[in-house]
Amino acid sequence: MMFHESRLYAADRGGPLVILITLALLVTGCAVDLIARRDTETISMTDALRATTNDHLQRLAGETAPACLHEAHRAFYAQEKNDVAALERRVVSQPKNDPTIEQVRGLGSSLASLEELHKRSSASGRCLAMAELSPLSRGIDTSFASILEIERAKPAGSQSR
Amino acid sequence: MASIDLAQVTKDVLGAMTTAIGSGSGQVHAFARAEAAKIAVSIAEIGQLRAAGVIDEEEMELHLDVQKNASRAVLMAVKGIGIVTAERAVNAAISVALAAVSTSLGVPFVRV
Repeated sequence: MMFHESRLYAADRGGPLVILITLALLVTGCAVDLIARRDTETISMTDALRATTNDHLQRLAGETAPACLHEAHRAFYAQEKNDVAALERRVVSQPKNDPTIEQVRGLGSSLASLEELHKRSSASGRCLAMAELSPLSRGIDTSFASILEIERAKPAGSQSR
Repeated sequence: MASIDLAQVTKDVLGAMTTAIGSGSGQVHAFARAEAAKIAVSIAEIGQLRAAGVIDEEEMELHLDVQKNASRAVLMAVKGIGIVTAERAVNAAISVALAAVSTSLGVPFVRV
């Protein structure tokens, strides 16, 4: 009996307490931010880099030696490294942006692999074959598309906390 | 003290969360399916290039790195959109609960 009474007593006092805690949480309940806000600068930088990369790959597909060789495209790779580094700095500066940071680092690694493949084929005096460019182009474009997919899905506005 | 219909609030919160989750998941599944198909085609092509001797072992690894990074990027998109969806669901639930409690108690609450 004593047990029941104390439980009832606790429930009696606990009910309003739970409501008060709930109210306190609701009143102070700002919007919850679990991920970075949409960043238009990240979108425009990614769009620009995607366009120049596509142009580069299309140009390579239409060129013959020596125009297709790595030596003739050094400026592109140098510029691209700078652009990827700038994009990485941009996404790292956004709070709660881990998925995008990982995507951009992966993109940088893919573009480095593209350059390495280009160097290797050029070392033997041959252009990258169309059959090689096709999966490279598709894979790199998937990386760009994935960055844009998540960035455009992020909520607009500024981080509340 | 005014009473709160906890069962109704729970139902409303669940409804708001389900709606938020439903709208996000369809979009990400379609994207992941399309990109996974492209990656599968690319890996098959890389295998053919190696089998035909167009590329050597090291070049195949470099090609596969590009596809691995693409796969990871798709998975990160799925993960990220999942987080966006969870955020929408949590915020929808808070809004609905806040509105229900506010109505029940006759006390206006302002979201900040």
